[in-house]
Amino acid sequence: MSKPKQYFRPSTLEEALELAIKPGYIAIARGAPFLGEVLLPYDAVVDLQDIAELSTKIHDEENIYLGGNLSLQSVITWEHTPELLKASITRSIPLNLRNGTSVGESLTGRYIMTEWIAMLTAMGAMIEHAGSLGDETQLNFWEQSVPEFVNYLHAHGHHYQGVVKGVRIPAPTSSSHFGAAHIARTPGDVAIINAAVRVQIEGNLVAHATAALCGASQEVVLPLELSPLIGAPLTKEAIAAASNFAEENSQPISDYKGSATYRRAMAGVLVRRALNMCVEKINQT
Amino acid sequence: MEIDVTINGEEKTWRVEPHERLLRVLRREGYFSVKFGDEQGISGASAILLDGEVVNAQTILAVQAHNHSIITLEGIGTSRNLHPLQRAFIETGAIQSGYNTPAQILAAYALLQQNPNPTEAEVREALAGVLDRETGYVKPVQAVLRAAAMLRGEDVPPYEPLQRAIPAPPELFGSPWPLDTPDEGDVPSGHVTTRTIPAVVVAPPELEKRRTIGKPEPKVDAVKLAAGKAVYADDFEMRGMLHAAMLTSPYAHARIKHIDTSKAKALPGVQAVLTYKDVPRVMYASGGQSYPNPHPYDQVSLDNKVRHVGDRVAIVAAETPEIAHEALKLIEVEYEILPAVFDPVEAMQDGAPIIHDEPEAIGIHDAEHNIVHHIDASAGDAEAQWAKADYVFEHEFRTHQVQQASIEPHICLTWWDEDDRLVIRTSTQVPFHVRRMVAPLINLPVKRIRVVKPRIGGGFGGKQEMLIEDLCAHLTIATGRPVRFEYTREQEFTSARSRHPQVQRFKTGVTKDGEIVASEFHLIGNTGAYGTHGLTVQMVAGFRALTTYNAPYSRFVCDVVYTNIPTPGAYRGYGAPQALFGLETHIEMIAHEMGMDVVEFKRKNWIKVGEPLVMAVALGEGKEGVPQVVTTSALEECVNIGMRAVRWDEKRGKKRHVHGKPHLRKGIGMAVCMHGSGIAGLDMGAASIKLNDDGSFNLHVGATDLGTGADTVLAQIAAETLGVPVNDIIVYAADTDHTPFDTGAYASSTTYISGGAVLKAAEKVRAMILDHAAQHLFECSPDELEIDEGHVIHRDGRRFSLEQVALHSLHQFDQKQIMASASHMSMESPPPFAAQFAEVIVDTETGQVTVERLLMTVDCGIALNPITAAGQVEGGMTQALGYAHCEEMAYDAEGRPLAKDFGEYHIYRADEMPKLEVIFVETYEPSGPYGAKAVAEIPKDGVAPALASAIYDATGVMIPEIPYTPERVWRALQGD
Repeated sequence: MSKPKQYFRPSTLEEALELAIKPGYIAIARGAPFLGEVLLPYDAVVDLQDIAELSTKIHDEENIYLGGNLSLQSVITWEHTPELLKASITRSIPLNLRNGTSVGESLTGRYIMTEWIAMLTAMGAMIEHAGSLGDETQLNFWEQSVPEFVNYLHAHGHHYQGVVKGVRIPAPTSSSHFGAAHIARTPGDVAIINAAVRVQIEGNLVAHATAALCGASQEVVLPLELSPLIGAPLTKEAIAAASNFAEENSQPISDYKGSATYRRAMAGVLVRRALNMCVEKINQT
Repeated sequence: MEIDVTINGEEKTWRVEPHERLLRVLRREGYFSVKFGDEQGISGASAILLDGEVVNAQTILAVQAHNHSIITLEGIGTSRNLHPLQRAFIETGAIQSGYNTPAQILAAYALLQQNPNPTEAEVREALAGVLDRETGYVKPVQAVLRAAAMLRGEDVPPYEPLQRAIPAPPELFGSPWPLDTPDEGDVPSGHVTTRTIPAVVVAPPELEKRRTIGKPEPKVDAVKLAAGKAVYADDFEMRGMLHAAMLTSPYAHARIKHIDTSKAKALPGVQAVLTYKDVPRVMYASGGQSYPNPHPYDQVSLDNKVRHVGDRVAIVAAETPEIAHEALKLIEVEYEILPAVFDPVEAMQDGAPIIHDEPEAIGIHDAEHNIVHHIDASAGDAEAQWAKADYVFEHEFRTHQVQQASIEPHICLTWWDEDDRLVIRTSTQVPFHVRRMVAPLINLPVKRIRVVKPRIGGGFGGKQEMLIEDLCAHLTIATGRPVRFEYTREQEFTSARSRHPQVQRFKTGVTKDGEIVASEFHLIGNTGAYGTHGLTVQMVAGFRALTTYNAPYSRFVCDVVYTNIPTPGAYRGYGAPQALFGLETHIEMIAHEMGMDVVEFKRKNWIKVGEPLVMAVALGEGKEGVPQVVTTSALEECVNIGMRAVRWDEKRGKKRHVHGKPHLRKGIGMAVCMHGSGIAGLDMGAASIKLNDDGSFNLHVGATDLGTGADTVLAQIAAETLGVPVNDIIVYAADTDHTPFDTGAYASSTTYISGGAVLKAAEKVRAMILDHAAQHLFECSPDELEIDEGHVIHRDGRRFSLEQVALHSLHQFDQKQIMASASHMSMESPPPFAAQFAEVIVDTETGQVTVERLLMTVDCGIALNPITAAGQVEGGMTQALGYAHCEEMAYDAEGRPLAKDFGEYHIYRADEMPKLEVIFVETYEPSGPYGAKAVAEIPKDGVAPALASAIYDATGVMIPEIPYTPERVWRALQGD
């Protein structure tokens, strides 16, 4: 008998979680990242679409909260979504895939949305989810950073039995600045390598600076504290040092789109460009 | 389980299984506008509106749609009540094969519901989720903007797709240039033109006298395609139909030591499992070519050896597709893994793995060295011409493997009809070749086989192959039941055909005055695991490489080599895109090294009217060719007009960069192109025409319209000749039982060859009409009569309608069916010419190339239908852009493909396209129907070398290998 054999549409999160952690079960909100195979490997599908709490959007002084069921397209059309976060979705993911993919699925699926993941990482987003990771079968509630979550899943074959409740993003402040850069074969192609950065300026000095790179390590996303920038003004020289730092700390793999040598060299270029984007914004303010 | 849905405003309850995708259920319920393109939904073919949002029905379970609202194209408009979007798609010529048209219209519909006044950029963004391999997105974008204006209630003028009747050269050069549009910027909302300007036709004034020739007639199949009707191979249901699935090799080279199908056969629902043990071992060549098929004959339906990842191992028929695929997992195969070789140069060395060691193979030149064919052909006096050369230049180039990527996969249905004849309904470019070629494999005489070609969802050469029909037929023979067999998208990349990779070396002798006197082209063509089109593609490559500049001494040396990559075959352009990349880049490098202006060097040497093609006799296609002379060429005008349109002199060599960003260098490049119109002395088409009671005509042709608009052009030829509007011509095409023979849709032959047959048949019918009318109605000589506007008209003003003539001849006196058939072949293949221009921005830090603009100026003779011809050029340039820039079939060290879906194998989307422009510069080719030459393939030839030229202009570096991916360009800039 072809799989999945069973379908559930629970109306509460508790009910969904009870089902979702069962071996062979998968929870989907929209499903596009999980239904693109000739034969589906799941015994049962737990459809989350009726669970209203997973579709919440909250914007307050401290956080932006995106419910796990929200489509990526609804993230774009929400007025409180930061522009660079919107851009991280729109460039390489067309509308029908954005409509077919939920926030939760964008983090758990095998199709890795690199610019979105890098920007979430740079923004310091935390993932709230409940389920079992890897070989564990016990229900747990988690709040993990994006790198922790996606790199773990990647290392474990994207085997995830649970529900992403939502993503909590610290609300950008006037002192935080973001930048992003990528390299792709065409203007709309998935990035070969990409970087997102966040710089926190206090006074004229960098108080905090992080970068997130995809395609620059063996993991999905490489988070880097840009230590060469801390405590100094964001000068050309400091940016060059951060660029070198990113290049030195990249350990990419080679594939047909780019060798490790190329990706490593580009890691520095992209971090520099993303930081320069921050400088432009700082100068504008 | 049952689901309740509201579909197109109607409430329905459907019984579905938990595993069923919504696409399957919708099609089962008769919503055939929703299509399969790929499992991941990236093609967008399965787009629907779910609660008003565009989503892919392929990646939604049917049960997820419970209590939701669905809209498909059927709910937007019908053929009798077309929605403005559908009308606009027809009027603007936005439909080619039409396979993804329903999805495009739905995406546009959703946009206009939200935003009735979109910008072009917003339209492109909305269409970005629906891949289009055919149009270059130009006309679909125009259609959406036009429909938006209609829906806003604006007074939308009749669609003017062309800027026609521009004074022909040389007057052109003194007149204000109509193409002086800004280089940058978007069109503001509300405008119904796009930044991609309408095609321009520089036409001889006498063309204005024609009724339909040269006019942008809507496609004859446009309404049914716009309405999403059931017209494709898969849009067909039969009771008791089984579904096939194919087991393929996971290894690049292996022998099947043992295969056990017992568990698969035992799976409930499985009706047949076939392996090499179950089918006759008949050697054949799968390329869809004329009799006798060129060697080698190196394939059998199912073999005990596999030669590439994705090669055939077994085939299953079962009650559902899922059961068939489940059964594949139960087939136990023990392989003896053999050493594999992927590089053609390595494959030729002593000790390389021997890929074809089977004793029955026929026509392999040197199997021990994997050399299928060795060609050494020349013309002219080598010694004398090399002696004239003051300089000799040699350069090497490499081209790569790319896939046709038609959105409709290979699909075929087979069944026994009521007379125990096997019917094959298949998406093919070569129905008559399929019938002849499949017969011995399934041990049936040709007379017991009927091949039907419905509408095709794109082919581009990939369906010039008898690829899956034999397997489907074997299953129908084994089970007695109808069988449906469709490739998965992954199988399109592993088990279908592709473009041959080549290793090229050009050697050219030039005098100090810049005259090319001798040319050699050494080529190694990688034909992968099987020979199929290996010989003929490389011969065309040789011919094209040595003809454009037509050196008095020319020599072609070629080895066609087996390797263990998935088999290349026919792909639009057929060797010319590879050859012209090398040739044009080589010629430009010579000009640079000699310090000559590139355009002047090319102009001095390109072939001109009246010159014989030096290699025409030495290099035919699979056999010796026939002498040919260039009779018409507007290449000079194409180059001049194109240079002016792109402001060549203002840009070339000016070391430009993007303002404030010195690492973003701008470049402009050009290439000239020359192709053919059919295969001289080989291609043949036939047509029959009969007059109906009401004065309309049935036109039956074997020609295969694969979305190009061929049926429309053939109808125009008939209509022009018979003096009726195009809608009085009812075209029925490509059914081996009911239409005359045609070699098929390839080699840019349909307009020139099949059109010639239609013209002849129409002229015969016209003569019969005039004879009958003169004798029985007018009592005069036929010479005193004309046919116009559906009437036979005497010079004295008397007139009888064609209906009166038809009724008289059928029912009243001297009764007969006025009908005729005709065949046409040609000993000529008049070359279309073109100039391709490209503008790029090169990021010198990253190597990323952004293509800003492509312009092609084309001499295709008379463009019989400029709107469909423009669509061919726009779509062809877009495919060629993918070839030059981003598309690549890559493999790991074991020969396993790495790009197996549209995520990895990226084809250009609507929202990332460069500006596209087309200008036709018409000539009147005397050997073609109404002056036509070909247009289908030449747009594939020039983009890669024009990009090479533009990157050189931007950076000073010429890169001899494509595609121009960021790392390749970056390394070149680093001097690697």
